[in-house]
Amino acid sequence: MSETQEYVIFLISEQIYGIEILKIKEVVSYRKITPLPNMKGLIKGIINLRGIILPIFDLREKFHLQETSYTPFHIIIVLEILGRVMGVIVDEISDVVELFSEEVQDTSNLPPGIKAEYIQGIGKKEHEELIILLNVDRLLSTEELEIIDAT
Amino acid sequence: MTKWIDKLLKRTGLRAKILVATIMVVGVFTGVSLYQSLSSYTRSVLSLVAESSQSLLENTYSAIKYPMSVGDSKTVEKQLIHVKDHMEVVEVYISDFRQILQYASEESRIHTNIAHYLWEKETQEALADALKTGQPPEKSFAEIKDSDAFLVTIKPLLNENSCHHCHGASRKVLGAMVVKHPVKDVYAAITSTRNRLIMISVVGIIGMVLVIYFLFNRLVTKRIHWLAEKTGRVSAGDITVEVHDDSQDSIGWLTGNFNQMIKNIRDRMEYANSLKLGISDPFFMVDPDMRVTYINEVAAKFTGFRVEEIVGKKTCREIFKSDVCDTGCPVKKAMETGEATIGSKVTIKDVTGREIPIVTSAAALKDSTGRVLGGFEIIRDVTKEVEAESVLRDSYLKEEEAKKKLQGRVEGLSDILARVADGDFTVKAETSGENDAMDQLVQKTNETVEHMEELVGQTKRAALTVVNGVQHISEGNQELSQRTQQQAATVEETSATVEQLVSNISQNTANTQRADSLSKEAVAVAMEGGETVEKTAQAMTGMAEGSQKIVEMMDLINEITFQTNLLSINAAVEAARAGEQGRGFAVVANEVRNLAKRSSAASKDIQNLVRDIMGQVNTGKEWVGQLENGFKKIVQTIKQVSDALSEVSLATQESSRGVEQIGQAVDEMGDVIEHNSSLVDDLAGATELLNEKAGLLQVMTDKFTLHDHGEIEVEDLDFKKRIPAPKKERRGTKPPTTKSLREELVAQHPAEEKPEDLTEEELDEEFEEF
Repeated sequence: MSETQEYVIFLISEQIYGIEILKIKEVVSYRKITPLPNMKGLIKGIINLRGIILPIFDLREKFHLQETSYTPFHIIIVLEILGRVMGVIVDEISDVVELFSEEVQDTSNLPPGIKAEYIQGIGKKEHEELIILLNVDRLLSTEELEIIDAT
Repeated sequence: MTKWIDKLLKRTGLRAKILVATIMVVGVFTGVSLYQSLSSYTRSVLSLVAESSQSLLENTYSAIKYPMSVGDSKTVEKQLIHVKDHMEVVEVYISDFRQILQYASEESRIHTNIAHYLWEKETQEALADALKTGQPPEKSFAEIKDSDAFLVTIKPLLNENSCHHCHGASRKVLGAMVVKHPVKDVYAAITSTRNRLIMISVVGIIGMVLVIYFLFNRLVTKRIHWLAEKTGRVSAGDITVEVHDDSQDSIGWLTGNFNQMIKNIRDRMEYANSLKLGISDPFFMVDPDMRVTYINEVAAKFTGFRVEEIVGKKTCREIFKSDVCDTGCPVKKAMETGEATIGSKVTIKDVTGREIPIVTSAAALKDSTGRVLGGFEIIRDVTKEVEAESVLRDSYLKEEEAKKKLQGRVEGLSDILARVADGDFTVKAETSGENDAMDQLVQKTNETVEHMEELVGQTKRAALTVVNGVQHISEGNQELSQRTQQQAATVEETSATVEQLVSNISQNTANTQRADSLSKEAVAVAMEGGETVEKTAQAMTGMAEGSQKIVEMMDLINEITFQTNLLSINAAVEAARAGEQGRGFAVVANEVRNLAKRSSAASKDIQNLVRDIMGQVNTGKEWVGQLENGFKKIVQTIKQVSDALSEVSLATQESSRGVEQIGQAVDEMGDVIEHNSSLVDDLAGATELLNEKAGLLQVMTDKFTLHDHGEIEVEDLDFKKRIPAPKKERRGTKPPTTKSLREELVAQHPAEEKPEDLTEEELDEEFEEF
């Protein structure tokens, strides 16, 4: 019996992504984001979650996807990245899956032009779509983290 | 004296007067000014000399004053000799109060009396006076002897303090100092100046006088002289004169006025000449001796002489051999009395000796003082007027005669007309054969009588025809009576048929009304159906609303499912964190998540179902709408049918009424026919009366006497020919006038039957059409 790891999988623009379950603190429904002045790019603003102020960002910006307008059915995943708690907006939470280690393929055989430092690997379950597994700790660059710190 | 001067002035010419006046004026003015300037010149020169003598005297006095005051006689003498040396011609004397010379420029004259050297008495007196009073004389004195002339100046020497030591103070005046200054040269100069001035003045005067005289002569005298000459010519009777002077001064204006005056005179004369020429009647003028001064062409022609032979050569009497030349010549009379004689009738003889009656008018010609200068006479030839008068008289007499003749002819015609009035048309008026208006009148009268005769003849014939006609009418009338009765019977039959028709139409009306009520019921049923459809539509709408609510509720379920899913994921997260202890919890979370997934799928299915239902409901709604419209159309159509039936019913009712009216009309027709019948009877009576009157007319027309043209033809009555009668033998047979009316009536009778048949046929036809 080989090792297993649980992933929370979600959709952004019809594409399935996955994050290790232990990196996730909480999942909440979308609520109004208070935009911060002079903020652009991936940081969308802040929310108040039970008295804690969280910065919110959208991975669309980072993945160069088209922006969309948010509905009450969007989801905010609360993550902890290198000790910083923040929220990520995704389209839909689809499931929690358990992947065996052989079901995860690392990124070493991807073409070298692809900038994939924040991709942990590709999850592949039989008869199902591929899951892009994100490395949360490398998801944001140092500069982006500085911007978040500044908030 | 003054008279003599006046005479002289009048007699002398203008030039001489002007010359004398100029000389006098210029001479006086120049003389006065010459005298003034000469005397002022002399005065100024002499005063200059006097001043110089005075200064010389004062100088000498001041030179000798001191030596004299110290009694230095020698020095004084020397001083005087000095004077003598310097000015030889000047003599200086100093005398004591007794006029004895103490000092002198001429040493030889010392101790002589000064009076010897003063020639003029005035000077001597002045010296004595000066010595006496001590006052110097106010002027110097001129002394002239032979050709010498001196100016003497005197100064008294007064006794002053400085003199007292020699002379004492008792005397006021010690002596006098006299200076004798030669002025011969001065006088010579004055004289020569005076002579020169006088000479210049004389020359100037002469020059000035000449210039003035020349200018005056040129500007005034000459022009006036010229004008005078022209006016002289005018007064002599020459009015063609014209003066040209365009200067803008009084003489220029005078010339202009003169020209205007001459022009006016010319205009007047031209006017007078025009008047003379404008007289078309014979006209002439004579002088007081009865000599002809003017005669126009017409008058000259009258006399037989030429104008040139008469004017100025012959007297009035020589050219007009008139009967009044001795007794009462109009011109002579006018000249004697000064009054015009107008319109006197005279007879004169012309050049051939023919006597001519004329009317003359004459008047005297006078000048402005009333003096008679001559006379003129206008002659009018009245020969034509006299002739016209006699012609007029002749024509009057002729007219009288014609009038009498005409009266006779009118009376003749009047007699003829009286006979015509009595009814005799056989007479005829005779014409005179002159073919004048009267003859035309007679002809017209004859024609009229002929026409009247013809007319009366026609009237007679017409009367006969009328009698004939009336008999025909009488016959026709009886037939009419019969036919009217037949008509009445037919009308009764018609009336019965119409009643049958009325009852048929009533049946029809009832049927139509029933159909109408049935169609109304159909409308009600259709409307009920419409209402049911409407209710169905409402129910469909309710269904659609219910589906909508289900959709809303599905949203809520979706929300719950979504939240449940979130919750399950969070549970999974928490379970993962809990590690081994959370395993069981993870399973629960997984189950919950599965549940949420399933409920989500179920809700999606329900949503789809509800959407299908809603689509179907909408389709149903549309169909129901169509159904509703269909019902509405049905109702409409049935209503239209009902309306149409109503209209049919109304129309049937109306036709029923119409037929009823026809029935009434037929009844009325029966009445009318009955009435007609009685009228036909009345007509028979009237026809009888007419018959009588026609007989009377015939009798009356027989009274007129006419020319015998044979028997009168009676016109055939052709009204029977208009009827399409089968009896041909009646046509074309002219009833002879002599035939009795009764016979004719009998003969005509059978022809009257056809019209009745026709009427009946027509009636039947009409009925069928109806």
